[in-house]
Amino acid sequence: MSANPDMISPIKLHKELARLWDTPPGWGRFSAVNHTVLGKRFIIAAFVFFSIGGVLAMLIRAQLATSGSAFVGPEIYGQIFTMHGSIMMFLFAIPMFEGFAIYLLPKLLGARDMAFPRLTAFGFWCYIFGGSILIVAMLAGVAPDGGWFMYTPLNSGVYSPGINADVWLLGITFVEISALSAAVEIIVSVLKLRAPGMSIDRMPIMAWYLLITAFMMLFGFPPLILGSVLLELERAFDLPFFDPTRGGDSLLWQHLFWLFGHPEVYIIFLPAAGAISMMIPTFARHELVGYRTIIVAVIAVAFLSFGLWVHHMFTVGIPHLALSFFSAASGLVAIPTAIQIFAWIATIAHGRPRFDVPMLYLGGFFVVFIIGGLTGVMLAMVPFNFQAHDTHFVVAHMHYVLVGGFVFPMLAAAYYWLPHFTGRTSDHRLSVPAFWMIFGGFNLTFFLMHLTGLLGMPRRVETYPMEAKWDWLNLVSSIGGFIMAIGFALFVLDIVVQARFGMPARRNPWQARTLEWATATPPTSYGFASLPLIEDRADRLDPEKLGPALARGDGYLGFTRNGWMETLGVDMVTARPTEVVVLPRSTFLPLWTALAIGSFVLCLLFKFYWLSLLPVAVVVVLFLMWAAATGNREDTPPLDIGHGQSAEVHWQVERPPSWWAMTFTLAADGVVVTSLIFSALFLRVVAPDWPPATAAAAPTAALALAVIASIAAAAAGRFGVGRLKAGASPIAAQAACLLLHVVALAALAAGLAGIDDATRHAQAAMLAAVLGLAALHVAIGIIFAGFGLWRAANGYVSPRRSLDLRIGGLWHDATAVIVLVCVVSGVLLALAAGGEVW
Amino acid sequence: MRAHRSIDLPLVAAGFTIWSIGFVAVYGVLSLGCAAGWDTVPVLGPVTLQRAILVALSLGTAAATAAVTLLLARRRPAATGQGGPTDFLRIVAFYTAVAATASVLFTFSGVAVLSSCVP
Repeated sequence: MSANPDMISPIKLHKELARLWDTPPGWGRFSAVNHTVLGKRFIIAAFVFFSIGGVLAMLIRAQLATSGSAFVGPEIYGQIFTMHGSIMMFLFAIPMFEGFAIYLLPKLLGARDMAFPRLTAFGFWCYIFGGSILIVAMLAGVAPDGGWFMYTPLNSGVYSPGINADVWLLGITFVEISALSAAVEIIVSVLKLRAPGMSIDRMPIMAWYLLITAFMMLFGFPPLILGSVLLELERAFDLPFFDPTRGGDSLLWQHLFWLFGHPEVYIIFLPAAGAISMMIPTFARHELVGYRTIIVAVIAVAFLSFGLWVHHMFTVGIPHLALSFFSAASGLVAIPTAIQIFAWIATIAHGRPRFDVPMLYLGGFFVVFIIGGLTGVMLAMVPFNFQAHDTHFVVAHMHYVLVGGFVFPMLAAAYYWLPHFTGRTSDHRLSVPAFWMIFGGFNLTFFLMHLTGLLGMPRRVETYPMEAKWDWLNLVSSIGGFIMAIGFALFVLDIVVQARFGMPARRNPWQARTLEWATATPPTSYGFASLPLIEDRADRLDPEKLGPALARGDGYLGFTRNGWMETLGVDMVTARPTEVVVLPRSTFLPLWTALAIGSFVLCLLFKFYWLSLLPVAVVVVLFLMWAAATGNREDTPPLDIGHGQSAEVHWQVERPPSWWAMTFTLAADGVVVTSLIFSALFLRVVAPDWPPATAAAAPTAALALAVIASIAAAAAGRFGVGRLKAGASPIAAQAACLLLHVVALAALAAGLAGIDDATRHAQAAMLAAVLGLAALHVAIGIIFAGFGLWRAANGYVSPRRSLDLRIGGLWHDATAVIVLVCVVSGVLLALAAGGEVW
Repeated sequence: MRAHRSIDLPLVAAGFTIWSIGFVAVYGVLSLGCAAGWDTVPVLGPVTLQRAILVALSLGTAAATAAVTLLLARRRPAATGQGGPTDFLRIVAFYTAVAATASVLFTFSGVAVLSSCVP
């Protein structure tokens, strides 16, 4: 151990840190948990999926180039356009932003890694396996073919009997695990793993954007996950949630999907806007104008974007008043979006702008995104929306927003951060013609598509008659599409050439003033040899001076000890150091866990339902191995962090990153529960064929026992923590917690068994779903309680090391509330449907 | 630098959280009212039970965001210079609440006049 920065040379410090933080070679690469490695892998994988989606787009344009085309038939065309949309939304845009966030965030914040490196790796493997399932299905000719938003009843079992829709529902849900884990990790990393002194008013603007976006993901993805699970349950077990002949409603799917789907647009745009807010000040040579105003605007966009979802459903038969709410919110969101655009323009206007390739691509962003925004305001107006609904005008608008709001900024970001990724400079020979081909080709393709749409061409049709007179517009669109594709090919070639043959770059080639440029380029695995003390806003720094000083070990934690991978945890607001966060070393566990979940998904896909329980058991065991690998059997004294300061190790503080991660996970879980109860209420109020002729009954006594046992389990868990902190053994209380959960599970199982036929009507199906969700929480509570018992019995807890039990306690508390809410909802569902309560 | 309280950070979302709750409540009650036939129950001249409840909910949401805005205005520092993270958060919370109040008024502006249920 070497704990004195004065005793160690920068080279030795580098070697010691690299020994701890580097990813092992060979097969060990599969055990990578490092954010730099995984960020790059995310980005490369997302670009591979983007290329596949792009090839599919070319096939679409080839098919639509002329009327009456026989290039591909309607069945294949359905798969092509469905996969194009699904790949671009779920396998390209979100993972690409995740990759950028994972790669950049710790470097922007002055940390050595993300808060949960194993979760990063787990999310990556879930993404790869989930995406691969979709691609393999496409190659096998059984890709989803019912549209990327999977409307029912088209995608219900009756009209889509093959496994095509199951591939989407299971594969995309698998990928969404990656998105949710990234959301939790980004939130905790931004709030807890900043450099000392980087108080919340000094954070780089991109950290604000990513923080707010991650919260949107936390609340936006659960409704889609729930919808996907319900639709898969309908397809697999005939539970009629979306079947209007048995009390379901296809509009429920639309609500759940678009509750996710519209925030998704902003989830994609805001990280790109964060990147724009980083690049423009660098090239304008002026700090960002309106830093605080932009934060207010982004918060407003985040909330308002959750009030727009019904504008995708304006034509389904909704009261005028309801239309007005969503129309107003849809128009309103343009204001905070415009505030950001004006702030960027003001930054350029106040500065001494210099022109370079990233700015060229940002120019493309301004033009394309603003056109997309304006057509968005047009579509927000109900009368126009009625006219343009489901036409190619909407397709054109969507591409202007997403390509303008994400692809152009990401291309700019690629050129901006390429010297950071590779340590090489751009020579710009191909980037300019690539831009003009992409920009020109894009506008040729999609601007004309507005006109095609206004002439009445519906979206998703595989062909059209010559009499429609849409031929020349479509032909020119197709030519534009191929020009754009050539532009992207040039971009790839340019990046490869620069990465391979570019001239070595000096540190901070753009003279940026943010912290990521204080690392070596390309960065080392640990990012910073020592962590900086930030004394000004994080976009007013001097990376040229800061970098060498940090490499010398002049900052915090400029040493190694105990073979630990350490970074600092700070107070969320003031960034005062509060704990030393010890991060896990490289491990294959994330890979094995994702493989086990992949096996579970494949079992469901091929309808081996009983066999699927085996990988579930493996997943539980593997997750327990994750948890078992952390912690300590002895109390650790406060640790030196440098600069004459000390801090506790993270498992000995009250609210370390893992405590917050559980809290935010439970927030997302709460959205799942709320969405399910909303679904039950929606069906009761809106769906036809209610109340059912024979309603399913709710066994009140058993359900009341479940509630009482769950509350008692939570109380026992809390009691155990209290005893531990008082110096007594928590084992008896933990055992009681476990037993009470078992009682609650048995009671809920009795309640579920009381539903004689859940396929008869949506009321019974919904009752089963509500009680099943409660039972799932209790079952996980058993695992938490059992793990707590094992940790207590083996000396991993003490009055100073109560974290394991307190994290379990969060779950037990939440479970008590969820069981109560689910049981009350179930009883009301039975009563409201005229069912018995016995 | 002013000492911060743990509430300062979540308060930046206070205004729009109320907007969200109001939005869900008004939209939910609109659906419930249509299903229950409240739009055919007169309470005062041409004003139906449905309309009265929706207007009351909208005004209540506006009043709540306005009240939060006023409370946050009191917490806002007098000067907007380099006041540290607490002052920064309080200013952001205030302006976000102002935006939320304006959003409530605009979003629910049709509640008094537009037809509330599909005939």
